[in-house]
Amino acid sequence: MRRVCVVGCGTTPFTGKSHGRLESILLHSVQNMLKNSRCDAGDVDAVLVANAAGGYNNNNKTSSISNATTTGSDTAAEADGSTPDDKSHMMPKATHAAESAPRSRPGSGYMASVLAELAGMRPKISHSVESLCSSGSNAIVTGYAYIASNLADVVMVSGAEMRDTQGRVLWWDDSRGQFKHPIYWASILTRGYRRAFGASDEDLAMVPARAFANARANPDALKGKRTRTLHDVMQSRRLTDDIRLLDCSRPCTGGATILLASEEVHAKYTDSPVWITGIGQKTLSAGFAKTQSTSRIESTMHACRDALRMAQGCATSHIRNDPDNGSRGAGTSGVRPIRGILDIDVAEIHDAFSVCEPMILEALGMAEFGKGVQASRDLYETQSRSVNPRGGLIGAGHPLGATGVAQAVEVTRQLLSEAHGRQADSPESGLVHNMAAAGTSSTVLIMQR
Amino acid sequence: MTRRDIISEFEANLRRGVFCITQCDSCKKTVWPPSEFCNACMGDTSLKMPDNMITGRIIECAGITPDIAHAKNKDGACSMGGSDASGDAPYDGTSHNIDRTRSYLCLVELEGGIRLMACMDEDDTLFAPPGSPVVLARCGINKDGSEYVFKIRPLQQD
Repeated sequence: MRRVCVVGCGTTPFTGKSHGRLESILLHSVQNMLKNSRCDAGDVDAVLVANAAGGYNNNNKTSSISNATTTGSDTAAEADGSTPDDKSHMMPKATHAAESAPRSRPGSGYMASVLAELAGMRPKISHSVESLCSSGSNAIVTGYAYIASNLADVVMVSGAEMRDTQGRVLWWDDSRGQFKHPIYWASILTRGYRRAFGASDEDLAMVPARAFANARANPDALKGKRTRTLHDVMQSRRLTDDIRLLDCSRPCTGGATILLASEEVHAKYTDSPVWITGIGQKTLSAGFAKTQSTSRIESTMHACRDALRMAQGCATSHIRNDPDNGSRGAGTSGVRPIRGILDIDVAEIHDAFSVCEPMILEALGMAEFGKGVQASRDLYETQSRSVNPRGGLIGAGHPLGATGVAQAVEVTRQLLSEAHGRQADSPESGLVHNMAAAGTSSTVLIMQR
Repeated sequence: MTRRDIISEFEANLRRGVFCITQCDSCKKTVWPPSEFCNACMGDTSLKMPDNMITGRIIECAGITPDIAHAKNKDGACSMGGSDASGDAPYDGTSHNIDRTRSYLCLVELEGGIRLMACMDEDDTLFAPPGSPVVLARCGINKDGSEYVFKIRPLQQD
């Protein structure tokens, strides 16, 4: 299997804007990637687009016609997460479309081909990847597989989402009853975790407090009027017994692009490759009600175990007898051998809600079960940048299809010491954790320089 | 042979307040969420209406603030997104209307292993700890989809 590395990346600012076109967001991130790499559009063998709504049904005001036709029901307004005021804007649809004519095109399928054309690319392969909130990391894994299997040498993975995407809700899941929105599974998990391990309100509030602090140094983060403190989080409105407003990540509009290349051609594009050395994925179910534990994210445990195993094998299988590689231990690319999770220096994890951080730290093995809250407290008290340096989903925003790609971009920048004011302390190995639908599935990537 | 549309039948029954499950015609496994085919042996399934009342136990229960639906406009969600983020709402779906009479969300496991996200009946105003026996009080389909409402099961029914 061929080795795969990151040779370029670009992001857009994350914003609260709900107008505009998905393809424009994608293209913007591609533009920023191309500015920062030596890649020509003609070099790209595959274009993959990650979007939680599959390119369709980004239910912003620009997409009302599409919503009405593609959902085939009168529940489109409920489905889009719009407020009653927003719904009123959708009626009558013809009038609304006329009022917003310059930006009234609905979401579109065939988005990878659309992006390829707009970017002047004629790839061998182009298609979208959808897996709700983990669409981005799934698209990276797909791109990795194309290169590793010799079907492509250079793959561009672009993720983007509009703020009002329908991808926020898994409408299929009848076992959730009417409680299909993320806050409901988060409420159950928070209650389950607190019952099992006794986390206090203040313990959990430290997660967003640190996230907002880290996001201050991220120029692409969804901006607020001011940085939210621990006090702000504690005082924010209580939505459920266990969750406050500032415990929740915020959907937003944004995009991110990453360029992958094979070991054989990577030197054409960069002198500083970041290698993807481990991949782990696990799907346990689609429906939240199938979740067996309310205090552990089991899919993440499986995915991380497999990613670490692959990274360990990757280092072993590529070690050369090369005395010039010196003390780093020396694979073909000179990556440091990974022995376990403690060798990870920086991590981007899927903190969709406050409780997710300690649960994920435990599932990844970065903290013992029941000790995740203490680990989060330690991160807060030290203002550490080793976990979610860009602010995570809570601090930076959560444009679903872009999130996994943006996480990988951040780890890349961290490993290349290009993260500026949010730079972690000389990391050599990084981890991306991206999950979907209440952790019913997880993806873990291990990246090394 | 044309198969009946199991899912449509399930929804039609649910709309009438009748809770059904799908069961494999071959291996007799209960299949949930409802599906036309068995996820163990891929055999055809049929709808089954339980003969008795539908009982189970609470796996987890969480209180929902009654006016959750109005949090978006009253609190800082809008201002958090900055000047270009008017209408910004958290990733929680709180811009959706939620029945203000419901106050407890619960994860319930029915006998047979089916799990449902449901709510407690408005008459059950106290927090129900995990393990509490419950009975399905009513079900249906509302604007947000399927709806399952449970009540604490009186001890004399055990």
